[in-house]
Amino acid sequence: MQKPNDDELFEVLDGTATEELRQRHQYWLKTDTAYCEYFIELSQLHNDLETMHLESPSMAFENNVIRQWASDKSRSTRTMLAKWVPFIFISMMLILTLVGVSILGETQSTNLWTEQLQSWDQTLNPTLIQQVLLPFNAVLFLLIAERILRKRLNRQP
Amino acid sequence: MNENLKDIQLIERILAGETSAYRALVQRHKDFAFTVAYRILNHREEAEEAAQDAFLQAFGALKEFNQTAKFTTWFYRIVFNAALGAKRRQKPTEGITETNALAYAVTDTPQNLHKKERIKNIQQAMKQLSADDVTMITLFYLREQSLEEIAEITGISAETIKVKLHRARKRLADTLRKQLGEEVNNLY
Repeated sequence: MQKPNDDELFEVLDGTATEELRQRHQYWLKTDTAYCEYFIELSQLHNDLETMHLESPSMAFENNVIRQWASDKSRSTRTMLAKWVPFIFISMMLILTLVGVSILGETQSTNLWTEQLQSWDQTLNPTLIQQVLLPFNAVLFLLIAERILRKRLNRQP
Repeated sequence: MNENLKDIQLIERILAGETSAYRALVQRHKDFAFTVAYRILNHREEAEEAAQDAFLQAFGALKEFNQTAKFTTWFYRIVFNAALGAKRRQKPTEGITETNALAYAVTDTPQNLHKKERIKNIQQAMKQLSADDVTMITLFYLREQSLEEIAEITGISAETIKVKLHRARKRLADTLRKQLGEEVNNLY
C-alpha cells in the first residue's frame, strides 16, 4: 500500500481526502511510527494556524483612514472644479456674446422679448461697455492665463 | 445576518451619502486588512500604510463594485495588491529585525504558555517564507477563504492555489523544524 505523500496528508487535514486515501492514511498511521509522528507534527501546525488570531493595527488607524479619505475627497473636488473653471468661463463668454449679438444685431423681430431687450439696449451707453466690460474681460483673461502658466511652471522639475 | 449582506448594506449607505458608514466598514475589516499586509511586509508601520491605502482605493472604487459579488473577496484583492506593491518598494533590510512580542500573562497556564510559544515560533517561521507563501496561508486560515475565493483574490487558478498552499505549508513546517532544531542546538 502506497504511503500518502505531503499533498495527500494536507488533503486529510483539510477534510477533502477521498475514502481510499483515508483508509491508506489509517493503515500507515498504525504501521509506521515515523509517519505517525510526521502526521502529528503537521496536524499540530494545522491546528495552530487555525487558531492564530488576527493582528490589530494601532488605535489611530481608523481615524487616520477617515481623515485621509476626507482630505483626498476634498482635494479631488477642488481639482475637478479647477479643471472646469476655464470651460465655464469660455461658455459664459460665449453665451454673453450670443446674447450681445442678438441684442445689438440689426435683425428685425416681432418677438416681444427681443423688443424688450432692444429697448434696454437703447438705454445702454456703448462708451460704458467699452470702459468697463472690456477691461474686466481682459483682467479675467490675464488671471486665467496666469493660473495656467503657474501650474505649468510648478510641474517643471 | 449574513456577513456579506452587512457589507452590502454599509456600501449602500455610503453610496447614499452617509459618511458614518465609512467608519463602520473600516471597523469591520481593519484587522484582516492589517494582518494580511503585516504578514506580507513584516513591518507594522508599513503594513498600516498599505492597509490604509487599500481602504482609500476601495472607497474610491465603491461605485464600481458589483453588489452581487462578495465584498470581502473584492476588498481582499485590493489589500493583497496594496501589500505586494509596498513589498516591492520595501528596502531589503526592513522588517527582518521586528519581532512580534506576545504578551505573557502571569495567570497563563503551562498549556497556554506552550501554545503561545508555538504560535510565536510559527510567526517567526512565517517571516522567512516568501510573500506568496505567507499570503496563501494567511488567506486560507485567517478567514477560512475557499480555494476559489483565494483564486479570485490573487488572480491565480484554484488548482494552482491548492498546490501552492500545500507547498507553503510544507515549507512552513520545514522552516519551523529547522528553527526549533537551531534553538535546541543553542541550548547545549
